[in-house]
Amino acid sequence: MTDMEHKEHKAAPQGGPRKRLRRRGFLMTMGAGGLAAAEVLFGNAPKAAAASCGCCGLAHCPPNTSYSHCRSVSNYTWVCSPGGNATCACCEVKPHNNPSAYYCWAQ
Amino acid sequence: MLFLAIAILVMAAAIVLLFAMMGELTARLPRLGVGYRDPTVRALSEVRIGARATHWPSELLHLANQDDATCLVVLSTACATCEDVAQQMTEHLSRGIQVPTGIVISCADRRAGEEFVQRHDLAGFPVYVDEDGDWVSREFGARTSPSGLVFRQGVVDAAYVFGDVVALESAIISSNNGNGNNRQQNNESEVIA
Repeated sequence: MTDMEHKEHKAAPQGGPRKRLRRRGFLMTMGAGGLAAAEVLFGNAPKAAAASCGCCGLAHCPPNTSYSHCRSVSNYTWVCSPGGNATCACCEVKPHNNPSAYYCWAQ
Repeated sequence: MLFLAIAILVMAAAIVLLFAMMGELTARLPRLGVGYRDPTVRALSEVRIGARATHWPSELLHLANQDDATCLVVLSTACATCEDVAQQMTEHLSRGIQVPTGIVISCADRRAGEEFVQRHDLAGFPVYVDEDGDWVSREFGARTSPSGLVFRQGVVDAAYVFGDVVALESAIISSNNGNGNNRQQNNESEVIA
């Protein structure tokens, strides 16, 4: 028997089919657990990306009503300019902490 | 065999973690790098240049009677950019401001305005909490934030939209040095500090 044949023989799975199945099950569990952990830890959108309302700092972001509805009831509306080319009108239904909306346009 | 599988799993987890950290870091950096602020100071055309207020809130009254340029920074609780400007204001105060400055907080209700002042520790400035922005919009026509209204003897001399407090102050000082009474003539002009 050559050296290579000896190594191949040693690397071959040992034990019966039941032991092999148990090992495969353990590895599958580990893999599934790893994926689940990654999903829980990193699967959600970053806060900055989730909460983007132009230059508005609204009570509710993303907005939870339409801009036209917000303007049609008692509201507080103010314009913000982030310094670039876009300008946004930020609308909050009064009293504070009620629905919000915004509308942006290019200057 | 089992040891190798665990080692590969640990390495895979480490690589995922590394990429997640890089992603998180990238998301936290502004577009042009840490601490970058747009130094553009633009004229604000909606403000009535030459307007004189019929009444000043007691908190800001002393700014209305000065010969030299004074500034009213208009911030809003509904403006995300204003959060950053408010923080800059506090830092700027600790470094020493060169132009007497007051702050108007436009807000949906007084409680939100006072909370904004408290959160950004703006008590070192003369601050007026302006519900609905009524005063600043009625007297001067300002409905945009963050903006800076420049006064001379109580009269609006210029109005700017800005994102960088230092750039705003530089613009005011340079217009001061240019000619004594620098009433803004061209509202569309752009000042790059």
